[in-house]
Amino acid sequence: MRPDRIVTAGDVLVFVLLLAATGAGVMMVSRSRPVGEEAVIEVNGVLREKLALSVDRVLRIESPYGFNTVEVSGGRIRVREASCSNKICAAQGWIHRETEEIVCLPNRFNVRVAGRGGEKYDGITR
Amino acid sequence: MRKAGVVLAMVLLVAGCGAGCRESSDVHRRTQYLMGTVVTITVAGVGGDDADRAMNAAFEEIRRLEGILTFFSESSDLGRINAAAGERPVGVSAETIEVLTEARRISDASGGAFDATIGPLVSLWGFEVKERFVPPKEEIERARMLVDWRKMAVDPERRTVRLDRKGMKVDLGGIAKGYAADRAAEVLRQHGVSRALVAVAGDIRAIGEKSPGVPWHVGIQHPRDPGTVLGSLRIADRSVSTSGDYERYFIEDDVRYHHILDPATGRSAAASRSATVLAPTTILSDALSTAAFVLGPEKGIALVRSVPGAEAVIVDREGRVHVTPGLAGKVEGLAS
Repeated sequence: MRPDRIVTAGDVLVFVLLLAATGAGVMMVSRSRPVGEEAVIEVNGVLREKLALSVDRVLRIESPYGFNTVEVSGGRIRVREASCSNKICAAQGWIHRETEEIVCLPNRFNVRVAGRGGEKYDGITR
Repeated sequence: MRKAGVVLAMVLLVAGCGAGCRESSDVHRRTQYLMGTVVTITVAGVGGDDADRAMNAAFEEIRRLEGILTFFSESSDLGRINAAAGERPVGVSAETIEVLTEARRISDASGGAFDATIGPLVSLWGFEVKERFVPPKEEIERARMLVDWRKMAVDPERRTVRLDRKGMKVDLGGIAKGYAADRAAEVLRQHGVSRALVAVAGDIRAIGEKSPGVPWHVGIQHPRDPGTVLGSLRIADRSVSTSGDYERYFIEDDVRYHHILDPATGRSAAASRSATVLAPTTILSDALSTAAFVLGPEKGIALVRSVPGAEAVIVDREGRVHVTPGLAGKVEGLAS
């Protein structure tokens, strides 16, 4: 090996490995939603709470439309109890991945999971 | 120099995620509950006060349209059309004429896979209420005989609509939300907004790009895994809608009964798990996604290909993904 060479075979190898690792990372990120770090709770479109998913707790959110009790446990969140008529929100169970969302239409209540730096998608078509 | 090479490599890697990974401060997002669903408007590139004014006006427009187009009021245009079925033509607003004219056009193009006169079947199956059950065969047949878009007369000059037979009912569940997204987008534009995303549930309209050179990033819900997306699209000045069998459904005797009914059978359409359609307008993407879902992958893709500016991603009943040629390689994260 000549000592004055600017780029060695080793450098090229490291670069290729880094590129491959980045590519694999991007593929993984784009195929599944990352695990979110906090839950954003809104009532009638107005922010009520931001809860870190790392802290277990039970919280009752009251509004003129009714109440929804949320539970954070083990990095996940769910609606444990609600005053609405159909209980679809409570039946949905736990969510934890970024942009997963529970909506309670009768109570105009929604909780969604978000990463700390903002949201990965501007919208979800469903 | 060698260090410089390594630093350059690191900078390139970091820069790869730099643009568009984080929301900038001039992005304003608000949600309201309208048309029985969640409406979210995101506006970029204008100050907070201007964004608020524009969003208030857009939400107000959707609220106004809801009053005209709702199925659940006797005094709405729709309520009056349905009440007068088999009797007389009813005078309606220009908006109702516009929606029903487009509905008829898509019914013609899809051979009735999308049909705005689906009302009697929707009421019979009652996916809006808590107690869900499979109706008796005879009742499904009776309701099915009342579903026929060719028996709905839309007269744009007199601004009247007439349903030929008593018991017929118009239901705009597969098209009104898309129309509302288009109208809200128009109101935002009139208020000087040139970058926005209007999402009426899953019917999404993009105005411009999010920021110069960065289109809006929209995920497509995976039809079987609630926590993941099937893939994602980058869109600007376009609309996207999805129809899926996972939104409102119940399972009885291992059969999945969901809210998108096939006018030909009177039962839940069974050819697809989901159909996502991109189109120049949301009224078109909304109605076409319903039609493509009902038709299934082969006929659905053929229908969408026949419409200028439209593209589709259809997940068939076995979970295989079908994409129109114009969209091949453009759905990010999609296993091919």
